[in-house]
Amino acid sequence: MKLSRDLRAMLGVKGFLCLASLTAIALALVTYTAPVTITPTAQFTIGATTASWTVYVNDINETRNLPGSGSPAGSQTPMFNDSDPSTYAFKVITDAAQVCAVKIELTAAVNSSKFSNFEITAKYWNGSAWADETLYNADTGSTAKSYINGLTFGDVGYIHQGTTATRYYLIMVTYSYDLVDETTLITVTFQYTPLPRDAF
Amino acid sequence: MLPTETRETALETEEVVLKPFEQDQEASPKRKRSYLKIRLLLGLVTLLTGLWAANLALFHWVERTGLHYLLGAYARYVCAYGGFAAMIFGGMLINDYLVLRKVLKGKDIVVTMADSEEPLQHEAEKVEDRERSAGARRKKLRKKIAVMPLAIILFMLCPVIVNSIISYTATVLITPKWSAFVYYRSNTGSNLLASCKERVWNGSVWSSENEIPSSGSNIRYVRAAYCPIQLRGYEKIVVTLSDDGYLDAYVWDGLNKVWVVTNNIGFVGITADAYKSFDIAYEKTTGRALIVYSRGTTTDEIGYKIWDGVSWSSEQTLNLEYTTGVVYCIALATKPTANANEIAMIYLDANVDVHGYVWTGSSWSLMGEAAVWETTAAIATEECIAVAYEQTSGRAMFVWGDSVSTDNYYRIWDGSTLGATTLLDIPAQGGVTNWVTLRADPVTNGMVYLVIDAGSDLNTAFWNGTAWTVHPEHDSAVNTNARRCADFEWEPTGSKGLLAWGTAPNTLSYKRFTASSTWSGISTISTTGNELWVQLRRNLRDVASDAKILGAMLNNNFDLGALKWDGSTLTNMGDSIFTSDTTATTFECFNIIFSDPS
Repeated sequence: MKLSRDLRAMLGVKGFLCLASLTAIALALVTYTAPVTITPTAQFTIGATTASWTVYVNDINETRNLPGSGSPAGSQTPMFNDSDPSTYAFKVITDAAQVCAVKIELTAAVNSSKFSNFEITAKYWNGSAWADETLYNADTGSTAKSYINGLTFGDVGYIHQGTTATRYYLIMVTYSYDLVDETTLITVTFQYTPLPRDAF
Repeated sequence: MLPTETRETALETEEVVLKPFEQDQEASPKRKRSYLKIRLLLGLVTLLTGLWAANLALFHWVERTGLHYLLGAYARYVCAYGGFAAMIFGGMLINDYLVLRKVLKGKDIVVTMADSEEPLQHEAEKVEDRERSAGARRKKLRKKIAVMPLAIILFMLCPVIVNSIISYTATVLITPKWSAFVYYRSNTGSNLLASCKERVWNGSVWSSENEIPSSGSNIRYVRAAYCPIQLRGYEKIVVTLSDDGYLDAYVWDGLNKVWVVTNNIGFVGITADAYKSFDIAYEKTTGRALIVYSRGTTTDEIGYKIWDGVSWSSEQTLNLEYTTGVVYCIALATKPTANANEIAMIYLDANVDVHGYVWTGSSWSLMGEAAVWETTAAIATEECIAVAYEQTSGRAMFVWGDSVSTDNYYRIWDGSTLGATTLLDIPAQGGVTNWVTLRADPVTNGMVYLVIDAGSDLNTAFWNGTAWTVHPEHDSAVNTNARRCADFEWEPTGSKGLLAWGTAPNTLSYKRFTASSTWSGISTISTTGNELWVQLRRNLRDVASDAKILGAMLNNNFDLGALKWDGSTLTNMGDSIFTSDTTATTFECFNIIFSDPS
C-alpha cells in the first residue's frame, strides 16, 4: 500500500502514462528470434577506376570507352581479361536468390557549353566480344532507355542482371566536342551503385 | 525576499502541480526533490525512447530488419503510437520537473520566512544569493536545453544514415586537343619575322594567326613536335633557328596556356644556320624531348638538351667519333614501339660525311660501328639524309644519297645489330640525290623513299620490310632541285598515300599510292606561282570528320598556302591562307604537326 502510494507520489499520472507508452513500444518490438548465420555477399566488383581520353575540337559523335585503349586514347574497347580489373569497368555476380541492378550516373553533369552531346551506354562481355547492354530507367521494371544523358545532372540509367550470372561491363560514351575552341582538361566521374533486388 | 507577484504565482502553481505531493504528507522537501529527479529521468528516457520508436516506425525500419514481430504487421503502428505517446508524456514529465523545482524552492523560502525571527534585511540578502545561484543553474540548464535539439536531430537522422548505400566511382580525365598546328615565318604580328606564327586546325578550318613570343632575330627554320604521353597531352615544342645562328625553344604549357620560352637555347653558328642543322624529337615512353643541334664546330660538333616536362637540361655535347666537319643537317626519328625511348639520328656534315647514332634513353650509341658510314654523300648543303622507324618491328632505317648519280644507301638498326651499308639504286635519277624524304607506313613495316635529284627528277621507292621496289619516275622536271618541292605521306590507316609536287607554274601535281607499287595517274590542282616547298603530314587518327593528310606549300611569291587530302580529293585551301609574306623561300620556314592522340 505504501509502495503504491510512494509510486503514485513519485510518478504521478503522467509517469504512469509514460510507463504505459514505453510498454507499448516494448510490446511492439517483441520479436521471435532464431539464430541466423549471415553470409555477406558482394555482388558488385569495381574494375578500372581511372582512365584518360583524348578528344578533339570538332569531334562529332565519336566514342570513348571506360576503360579504353587505342589511339586516340580511349577510342578502342580494351582486350578483355577477367583477371585484370583494368580491362572492364565493373563486374556483377548474382546467385539464384537475388538479381542485381546497377545504377549508373555521373557525379556532376558534363559541361554543356563544351559538349553538344555526351551519351552514356554500357556494354558487356559476351564471351568473345563487347556487346550492347540494355539500359533501364529504373532499378525494377522493364522500361528501357537508349542512353544516359551526361549533360543532364541526375539522369541515371540501370542495368539489370538476372539471377545466377557473372558479367563484366564497360562504359561507352558517344560525344560531340564541337562547341568551343577550348583545350582545358576535363574531369568526369562515373558512379555505380549496386542495388540487390528480389526481382526486376 | 520574493516579490509579491512571484510569490502569488508560485503559490497558485503549487496548488495545481504539487497536489500529488500534498497527498504524501510524510514526504519531506528533500524526498520531494528526489521524486522530481526521478520524474526528470523517466521523462528523458521516455522522450528519447519515443523519438527512437517513432523514427523506427516512420522510416519502415521495423519491416526492414526482416524480423518477425509478435504483433505482426501491427507492430509498426503500435510502435508509432507508443512512440508519439512516449514523446508527449515524457515531455510533460520534464516540464513538471522544470516547474516544480522552482515551486519547491519558493515554498522553502516561504517556510523559512515564517519560521525565522531574523531581520528581514538579512533574509533578503540570503534570497538574493539563492537567486544568483539559481540563475547560474538556469543558465546551465538553458545550455543543456540548447544541446537537446541538436541531439534530437542527430537521433532522427539515424535511420537515414543507416539507409545510405555504397557506391563506386571511376574518374576519367579528358584531354581535348586541336587536331593539327602549323608554325611558320611571316612578316606579320608585332614582332614581324622575328616571331614564329601559329594556326590551329579544328578538323575543318585553320584558325586565325597566333603570334609566338619573339626569338630576337628573323626566323629561318621551324621544327615542332607533339608530346606523345597522355599526362602531358597538351604539350608541344616549337624550335626556331634564326638569322643570328641561335635556336629558340617554345614549350606550350597547356595547363597555364602560356609558352615557356627559352631564347638562345643553342647556337649553331653562322654557317650551319643556312641549313636545317637541328631537330627535335620526343622519347615515346618517358615523354622527354631531345633537341639536337650542330654547334658549328669541328669538335664536340653536336650539342643536345633534354626537356623533362618541367625544364631544359644544360647543354651536353657529343664529340663525333668518326667525322670532323661542321654538321649541316640533322634528322631524328622516335622509335614507335611500346616502352621504347630510343631516338635515331642521322647527320650530314660539311665534308659530305654521313653518320648515325641512336639515343638509348640515356646516352648516344654508335650501334657497334667503328667507322664513318659515308664519306662521299651526294651534297653537303641539301637534305640528302633521312631516318625513320618501321612501325611494327621498331627497326630504324637510315638512308642517304651518294655522290654517284642513281646511288642511294641504307642501313638498318634492329636494336642490337647495325646492318651493312646497302645500295639502293634508282636508275631513273638524272643526277645525284639532293632532297630525300622517308615516310613509314603507320600500320606495316613499309616505307616510301622520295628523291629529288640534281637533274630535278622526282623518283620514289617502296620498302616492304625486306626489300625495295623502285617505281617508274614520276617527273623529270620539277620546279626546283634547290628546295624540297615534293613530299609523300601515308593516310592514317596506312597502305595508301599521297605524293604531291610542284612541276609547273600555277599547278600542283599529285598521285595516289597503294602499296607496294600502284600509282594513280597524275592529277593537278590550281595554285598560284611556282611551288618551291611542299610539305605533307599525316593525321595520326582516322576519323571521317577530319582530313587524312594536311599540307603546306610555299611558292615563289612568298605565299604559304594550305592543302587538304580527304582520301580522294586534294584541295587547295588557299595559296596564301597562312601568310602572303614569308619574304623568303630559301629555308623550309614552316612545319605542320598533328597532335599525338595517345
